Amino acid sequence: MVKYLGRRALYMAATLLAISLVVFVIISLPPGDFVTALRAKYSVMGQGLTETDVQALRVRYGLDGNLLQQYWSWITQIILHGDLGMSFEHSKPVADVIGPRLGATLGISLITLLMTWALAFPIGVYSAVKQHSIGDYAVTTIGFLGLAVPNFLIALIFIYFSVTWFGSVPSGLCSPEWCEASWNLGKLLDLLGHLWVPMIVIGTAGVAGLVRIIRNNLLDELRRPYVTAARARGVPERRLLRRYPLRVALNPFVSTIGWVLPLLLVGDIVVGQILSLPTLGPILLGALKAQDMYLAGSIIMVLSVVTVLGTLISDLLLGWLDPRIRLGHQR
Amino acid sequence: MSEPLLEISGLRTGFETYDGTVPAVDGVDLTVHAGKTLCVVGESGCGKSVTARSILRLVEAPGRIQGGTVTWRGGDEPFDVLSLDRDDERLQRLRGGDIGMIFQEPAASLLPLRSIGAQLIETIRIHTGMGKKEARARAVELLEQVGIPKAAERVDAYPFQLSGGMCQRAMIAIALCANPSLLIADEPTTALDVTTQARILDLIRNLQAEHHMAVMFITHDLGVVAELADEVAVMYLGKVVERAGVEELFADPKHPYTKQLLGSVPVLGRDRGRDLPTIPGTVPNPLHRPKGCSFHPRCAEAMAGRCDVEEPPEAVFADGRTAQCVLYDDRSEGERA
Amino acid sequence: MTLKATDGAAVEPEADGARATASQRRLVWWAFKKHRLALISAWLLIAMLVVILLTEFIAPFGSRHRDSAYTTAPPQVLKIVDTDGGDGWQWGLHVDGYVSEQDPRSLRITYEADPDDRVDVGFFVKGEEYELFGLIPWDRHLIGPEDPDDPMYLLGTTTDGQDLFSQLVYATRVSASVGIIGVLLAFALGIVLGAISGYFGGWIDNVIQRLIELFMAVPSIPLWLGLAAALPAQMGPVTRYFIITTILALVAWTGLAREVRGRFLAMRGEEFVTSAMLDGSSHRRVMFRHMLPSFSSHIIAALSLSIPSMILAETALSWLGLGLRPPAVSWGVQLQDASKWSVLSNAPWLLIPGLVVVIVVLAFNFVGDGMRDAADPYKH
Repeated sequence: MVKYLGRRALYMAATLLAISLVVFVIISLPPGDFVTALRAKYSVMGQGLTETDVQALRVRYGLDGNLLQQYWSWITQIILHGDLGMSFEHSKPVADVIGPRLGATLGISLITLLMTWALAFPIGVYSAVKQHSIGDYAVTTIGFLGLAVPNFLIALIFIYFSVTWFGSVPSGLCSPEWCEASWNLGKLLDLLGHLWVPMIVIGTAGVAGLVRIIRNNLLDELRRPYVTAARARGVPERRLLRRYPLRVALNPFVSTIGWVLPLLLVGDIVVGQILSLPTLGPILLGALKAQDMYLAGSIIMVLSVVTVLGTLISDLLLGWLDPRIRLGHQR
Repeated sequence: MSEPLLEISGLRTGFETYDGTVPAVDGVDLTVHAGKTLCVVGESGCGKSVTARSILRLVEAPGRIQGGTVTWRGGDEPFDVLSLDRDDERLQRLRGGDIGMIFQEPAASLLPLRSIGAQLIETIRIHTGMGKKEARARAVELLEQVGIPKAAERVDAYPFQLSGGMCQRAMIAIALCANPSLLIADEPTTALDVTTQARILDLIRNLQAEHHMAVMFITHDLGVVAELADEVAVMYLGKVVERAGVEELFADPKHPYTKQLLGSVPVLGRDRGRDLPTIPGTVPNPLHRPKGCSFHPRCAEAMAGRCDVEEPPEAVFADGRTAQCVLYDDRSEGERA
Repeated sequence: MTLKATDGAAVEPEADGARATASQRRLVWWAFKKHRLALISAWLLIAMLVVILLTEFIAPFGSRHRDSAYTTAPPQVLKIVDTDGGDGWQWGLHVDGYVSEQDPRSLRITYEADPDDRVDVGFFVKGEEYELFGLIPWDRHLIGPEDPDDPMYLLGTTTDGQDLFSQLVYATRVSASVGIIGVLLAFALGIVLGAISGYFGGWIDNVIQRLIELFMAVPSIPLWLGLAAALPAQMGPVTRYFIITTILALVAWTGLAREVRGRFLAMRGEEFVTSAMLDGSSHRRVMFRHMLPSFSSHIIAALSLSIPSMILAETALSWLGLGLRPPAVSWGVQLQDASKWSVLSNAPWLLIPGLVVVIVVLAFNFVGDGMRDAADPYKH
């Protein structure tokens, strides 16, 4: 187990390093550096920067060295001071832009992740156990569709029906009368009332993908000799399903955190955009379009780190669930 | 002859495929006697495993038991296993209670995620209603009985930590946990190396003597048959072609298939330096079963105009042995008289 | 294993002479034909290929055709019989023209079909000139109005007054080819690295594998968002098209590389490979004459299954405004038109490109699944 943990942690460190390099490349890819752009912006607004300001900023962002030095100064600022740089569009430190919205993004993503699991698991199990039933065909068909429809299209279709039926689109995370209120049952209900739309849009592809995974895995497991053997020794059917194939089919399910999480986070970009949610999505999109690269790069960095952490958690869960991994056999 | 324990009669099991139903077991009659060993022998694909699985209704889709009866006489009242309800208590009790079963791939037949102890204790508790502690003690005792060293430690080992032979021992322990009167062994030694194979066979023989249980042993290995069997049933393409006591069978095989099967086994000394005779051809596809006797295309004694036209009759000999072959059609009449 | 033997025999009837002597390719084809959905999907994809090749001919109007008289006009119904005319039934392919009406308050113009205004429609009509395959100058179009200035908008028009159907035909060429070219690029990268990995083995294989694992661990979606956004805004549409495709391929190659390597490694131990080597075949011959053909169906299946994610990625990217941009037309660019809910609620036909996306993605999935199942004619 210790060896396994060590290896996972090492991988995580390497992955984080790789991510930081990629993000840095993204940040430095557009022509012209941050200070030049800032200077241009300020001069348009008629409040030119003094040479000393410019010099200070160049030193602060390490813009005068070669690429490697620039990377070093960028990454050390982040690690040592938590300083992610300046947002050129918002004229604020990046951390101040991201901070307030990170909670909402993670909250929505986590709730959606839990809902995705809660839905996908029973559906997948049902579909596998009742293979070739009408229910199974329905599930498989819907699953295929769910994976084939881009989530922004789901959002658009949703908007169309919402406008034709109710004349408006529910936007934001709370109704005006509750937004400023302190937390109570009413506010919670209001939040849930707003949350289901983004959840459907964000979660559909995830549910469809997970159902497919669990169905295929369970079908594989149901054909294994140990199932027949357990049946031959009189283990009752329900217990058999629960304690044998389901246990094994759970493993790949857990390890899907790594790809479901980014899916949810990107869903957030789409929904956040359309429903104007107070999440990171719209900010990221705005930053990408305006080539506000410190902000965009930082958000990408944050999302990637969250994903990597999610993967680590799923690895740990897997080690806990599967003695083969825990005891260092196979894989 | 002792009491019949299990009677299979007219068993038919087929597999549904796109190209039609494949009859894997096609009208099999077998009897297992209490305390005796019946060996079912045949090439792969002849339906012997499916027969074994059909007894406990373990055949899974696309396979389906289509007809026949499997009568269990081990209880107070004989009953037909095949006509029981899916969740009849008696079926549940039969599986792992009265009948223990072991399989070809011991490691794959145990769930890798739970320790062998957990799986053994589970079965003990299902069939005996023991408490956890008691069941655990019994589990250790059983593991010792099947010859697993350091059983008290190994009880918490996972299947992947044990060798194939040890896994098969654990499987045997699970099969024995409720003192069954019949052990069905479906090629239990095929996947093991020769020395392990011999030890497992010894173990089964000793346990059989100790527990006075009957054994139905499925194998393609005639050496194993010679060593274990009281009675032998030879299967070919879903049918029992010959049935006999082990000594009679080896001394005087009746069916041409049995003869050719025995001829293909090397004998120390005799066969040095000469080619071993083989049975020409391969087992035909059950979907395209040859007309008449299904063995005739490979048979050395086939009679044109007879074997390729009509199903061979079952010839019954004086000592109760049978052979499905036209060769004995007239003579069997004579012997019976 | 009696079970396996009987099962296998059922799929591979030796007694059936044709089966026993059929080539691998035939066996795969026979198995594939059993999947009706996959077969239908394959025909759909072939139709799509024709659209890609003959885009200019199939589209009634050119990609830049714009009719400001008809913006956001609804789809028309193609009719064969005219019953509205005074003198009974009149045969002939036609659509009804539009009559417009302006809302006095919102000033919005809405269009409705005008049964009295008949627009004759014909096949192989003269229209805008173009160059087929970029070589052959021509001016005929598969279908179009007899008078090129008449409105014939079978799927309606966009907010700019462009013919949605023509745009869709052009977008199909762009979006589908992004998927196909992108997957081929990824595949080329994958097969080179996969082959190197499989051929040299040892530490080189190890390094490449760790690299691939690292690549896979980096979340791909934020990655391509960032890379696409970092492209200079003033880049030409063709350059942009190729760079976007390359970015998508860079992100997707790891899965394919693994697939190829895994197949090569697994196959290396097979008996027919050993026997080919013992026969004295060269490494290259063994790899390309013996090994590659034996899993080409798997490769086709894997390729077919990777294209949808590529198409979906391009569509999402373009829809977000980070991928292809007008004047390039792709499905994602088309759907941008539908993102304002005030527009969408009055013009649901703007979602038709989305329907096409779904159908094409499903078709690739079905063909891929069918191929994958068919790829193992001996096994099941």
